[in-house]
Amino acid sequence: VVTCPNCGEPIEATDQFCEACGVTLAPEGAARPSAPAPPPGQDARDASDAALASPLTSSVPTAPAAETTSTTPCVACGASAEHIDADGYCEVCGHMQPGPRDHVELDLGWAAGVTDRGLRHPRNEDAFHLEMAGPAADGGVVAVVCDGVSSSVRAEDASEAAAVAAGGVLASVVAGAGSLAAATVHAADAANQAVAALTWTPTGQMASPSCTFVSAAHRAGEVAVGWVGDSRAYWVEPQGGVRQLSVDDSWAEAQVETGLMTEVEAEADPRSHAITRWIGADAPALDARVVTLAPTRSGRLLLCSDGLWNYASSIEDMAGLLAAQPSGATPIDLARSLTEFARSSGGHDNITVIVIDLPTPDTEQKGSQ
Amino acid sequence: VTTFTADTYQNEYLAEGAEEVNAVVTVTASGGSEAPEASRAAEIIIIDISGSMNYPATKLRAAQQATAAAIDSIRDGVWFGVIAGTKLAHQVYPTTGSLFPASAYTRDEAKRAVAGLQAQGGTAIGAWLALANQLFATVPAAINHAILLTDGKDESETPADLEQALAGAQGRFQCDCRGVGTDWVVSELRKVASALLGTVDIVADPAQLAADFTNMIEHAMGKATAAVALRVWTPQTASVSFVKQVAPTIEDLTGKRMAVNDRVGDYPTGSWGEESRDYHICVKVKPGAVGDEMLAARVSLVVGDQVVSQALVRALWTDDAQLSTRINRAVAHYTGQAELAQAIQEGLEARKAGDDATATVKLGRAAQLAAASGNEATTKLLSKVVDVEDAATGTVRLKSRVADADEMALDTRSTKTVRVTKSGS
Repeated sequence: VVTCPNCGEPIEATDQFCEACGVTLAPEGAARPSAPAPPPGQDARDASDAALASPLTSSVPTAPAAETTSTTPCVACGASAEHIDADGYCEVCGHMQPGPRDHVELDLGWAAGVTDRGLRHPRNEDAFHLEMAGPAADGGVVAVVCDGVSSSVRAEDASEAAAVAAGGVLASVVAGAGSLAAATVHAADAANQAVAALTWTPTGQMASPSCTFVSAAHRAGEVAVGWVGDSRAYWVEPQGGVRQLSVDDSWAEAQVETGLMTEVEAEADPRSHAITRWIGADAPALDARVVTLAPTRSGRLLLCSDGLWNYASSIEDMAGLLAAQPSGATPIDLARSLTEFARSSGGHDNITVIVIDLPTPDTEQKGSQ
Repeated sequence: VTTFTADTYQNEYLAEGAEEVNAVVTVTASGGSEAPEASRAAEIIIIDISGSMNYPATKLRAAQQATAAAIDSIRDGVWFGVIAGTKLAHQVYPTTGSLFPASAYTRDEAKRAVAGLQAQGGTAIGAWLALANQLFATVPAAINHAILLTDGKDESETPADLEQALAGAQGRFQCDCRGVGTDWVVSELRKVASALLGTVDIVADPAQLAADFTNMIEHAMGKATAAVALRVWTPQTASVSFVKQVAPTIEDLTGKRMAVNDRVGDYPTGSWGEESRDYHICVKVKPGAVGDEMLAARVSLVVGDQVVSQALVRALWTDDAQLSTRINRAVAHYTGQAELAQAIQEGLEARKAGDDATATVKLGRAAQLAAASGNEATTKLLSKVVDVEDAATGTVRLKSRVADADEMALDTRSTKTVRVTKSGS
């Protein structure tokens, strides 16, 4: 049993706060994602994200992090930092201060991820895992994006547990020798087990903890992409070609696949975004769907939650969106810029974007750290 | 040592623009299996010996026997005394202007003094409470409890006298009130019990008094923690609409708020033994934007000046109707139980005023709510006042003849609630 370092009460490995004493938990090996200065044009809320960014968000294997005590005034009423209580609420106006997961960035150079609460959801229930694995020469990298189902209990814990568990499985295989496709199926299984292990209390019509899953694993020119639900993976070529690698496990997609509706009709239906497969205790017992590729030209992998692709659902719109981005944008530039696009389009859902530059086969690895 | 826990049951998701936040907070005190220290407790039994207690004479005899049984239930070392009430307050035991610690010897003395009481004179409840208040002040006890028994209306003093006595006694001791027979006034005793954080009930049959007194004393002897308050913090821009105890009985605490500062108020809950109570808290907040989260209230349990447990009442604004339209079962249940109590009290009032149409509607609604919430005790009491034709639709007929005792029992017990089952939520 894992216990709270402050009060000794039992805690879940994925808990952000101790239920007993309220202390912020930073588990061993967890790390603080890079928290760069906010890009110009972002509001005060984002500015304080940097100060509040803490380890337990999207799991990132770098240096361990320290305290999360607020040093910034209340974002709502401006009360000074000492008025922010241990739970993150302003004790003058009650406003919840931006949480550690509200905005997280990770920049590994040729791979980068951004997750953001967006504008309309109270919490960021998306999580990602991004990690280099194996010898640098192989360009091994693992990426996982999970989107907590908002009508499920502990959605933010589900996405985090799934991303951590799946990332761990994939990283060990990428660093070793096994099949990436098989590892992807195993990773989704591990995610399922991690989410099913979360304790939860039935609450009204809320489902048990659930999330989506999309992963990418690369090692020496081989790529496996897997998914469960409607988080997506794209292959983006420098000349502008875009392919969607995943096929949404959604009601709309099922209608289109079975020929019952056109894409336009299905998208217009209120049920269109209902997902037909997910990660969680009550999920259909089916393997993750996996595609493999062995690119012969350089290109980028783009993983994202529906908080981004809702604003560019068709492949044409996504291609247009990507073409409109500044040429020469680095992965972190692109991830930030796409996140900002989703926020300025309404930010109705949590947004997660991972961009990975894959090296051109048969040439030297570029930019590896 | 008693430990307190506080848990919140609510749907924290609000629709855009919504400004009312509701939550049920369950407070449970547990542990402290060793008996509370006797010298920290004091007990006073106040019995009415007005002339009417002689009609029938069994009433006075039953009251004397019940008092003797209560005295027997007081643990050794607990400070105690007996007051007899007419238009004045008489100290029956001890006669020293103070209280004595209970022992075999003092209990026997007290019972002999009670056995010698004769009924004569009027009723002045305020004067009785004022004497009890004086006597409690003579001993170093923290958990002060009284039982008050009367059979009549408070007619030998003015309502202002009673108000003044209640104001003086509030926060000094708790008082459980019992009416024997049917000549007393429910609203009057309810006011006393409510001000002094006690219960009120009818003991229609004097023969049942002894068991009821014993039960009350045993309950009082189990209290280990005195002067527990519910401390409610709300944000600057918010206001508390109400704070109600909703289980085991409905008790509106809103007006009992004692301001700690601009944003914090204490609501007294009296002494606690091993028990669990539910509170319904309703806060009006300034609506946030969709995506905002606010702490609408922080509910702390305070003993002395120490916070022993706390629960958070949160508000999250969302445009997801699936989240914001969920109804929390605990909140819905107790909203229904509060409406049930109100429907009964209004229905009985209408019936007394001869407004049968209103009485039928109100008591019909009560029958419907009682049946739907599984409140069998209230359903049974209602069935003595109305004929229930269809509980599901609330269709009832007023009975043409209703015993006074049945009507008073329904009135006094209308605030008894059944607890929500916590499976699901």
